Amino acid sequence: MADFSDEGGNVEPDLTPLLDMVLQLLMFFVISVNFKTAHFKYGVQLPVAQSAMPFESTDSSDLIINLKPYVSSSMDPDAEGLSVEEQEYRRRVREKFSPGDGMARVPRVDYDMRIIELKFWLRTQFEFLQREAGGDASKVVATIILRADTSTNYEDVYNVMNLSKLAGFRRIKYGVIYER
Amino acid sequence: MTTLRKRKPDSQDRASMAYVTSMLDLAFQLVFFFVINFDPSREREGEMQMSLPPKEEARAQNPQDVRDVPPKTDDIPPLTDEYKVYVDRRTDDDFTIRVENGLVKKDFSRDQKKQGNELEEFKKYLTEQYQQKKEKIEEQISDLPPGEKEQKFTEEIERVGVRVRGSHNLNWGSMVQVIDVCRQSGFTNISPASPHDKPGGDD
Repeated sequence: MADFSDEGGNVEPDLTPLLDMVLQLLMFFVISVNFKTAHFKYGVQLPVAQSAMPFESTDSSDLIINLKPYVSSSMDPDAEGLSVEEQEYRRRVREKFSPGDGMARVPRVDYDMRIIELKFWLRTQFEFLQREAGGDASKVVATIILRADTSTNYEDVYNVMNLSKLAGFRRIKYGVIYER
Repeated sequence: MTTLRKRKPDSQDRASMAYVTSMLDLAFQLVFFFVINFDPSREREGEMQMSLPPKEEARAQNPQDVRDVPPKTDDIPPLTDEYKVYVDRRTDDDFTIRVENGLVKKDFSRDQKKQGNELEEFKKYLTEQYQQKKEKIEEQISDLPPGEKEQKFTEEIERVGVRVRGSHNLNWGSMVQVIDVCRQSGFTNISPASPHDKPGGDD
């Protein structure tokens, strides 16, 4: 039996197993962390596809477009517990969109765009990337990553694909949930 | 009998303890950071690659858009064989599929209320079609040397395309289901096409 009866002084706890466990936890989180999620927070419910692949590492110039339909019930400005800013934001969205319209959100732009606004944004982005590539459009390697909500109308998704091509982009990937 | 011996830590022990403690502090801070940023729901998010709409599809919808047409890009080579897949919305989750290949037309549907899911039939049909095309190409290139054979096969199979057209109000989720089946059946050249129930959308 352990004798703890000695008086005075400190018992030295063995920190090694604790350190081992913490390092193992650390290793688990380091392996499974995905910092790209910052771009992905937009309440988009992605469709499911069995033939999909895990996300490859994306190029820094890749453009992520989130797309979902406007649903008026989820944008009630008078709902309880909303901040003044959120109420104001919802009122603006209500004025701008009709039910079923496609709402597009891209990184570093803090408002929802109509598809027609996305057209100008895509063109501006491509022109910028082209300038970065020394004016040669064929050297622009950026990929469009389209994260469309499962309930988005196909017409809106198709329009975004078409506008991407018209702007000059040549590659597109679709965000999905993959199942095995 | 085990006893925990108590002894006065010497200067070397104190130094090593201080080292372990600070390391543990740092490790805890890192663990806390990763716990906060950990989002298991994102782990299953993936990507599906597909061609952009073919060249003839990227047409201007309004006259003022004509100047937007970009300089010539590396468009996909012309198809030797094409499957046109039309997907029409019935309800949020149910839809019908019509496949046209030359004069051959087949209809399928997905109805959750019915017992039989014809999406499986659609997959079976496309898989058979893919196998037939594959065998035909393999027969055509059987005289080529092995190195060239693989390259030629890839080129030829890429020229058998599946063009998927949805109705304008079809859910993107339903469209992805159909495209997913096309990919699983073996086809690689799959491209979305304009909604077929809109003016100028059908061919």
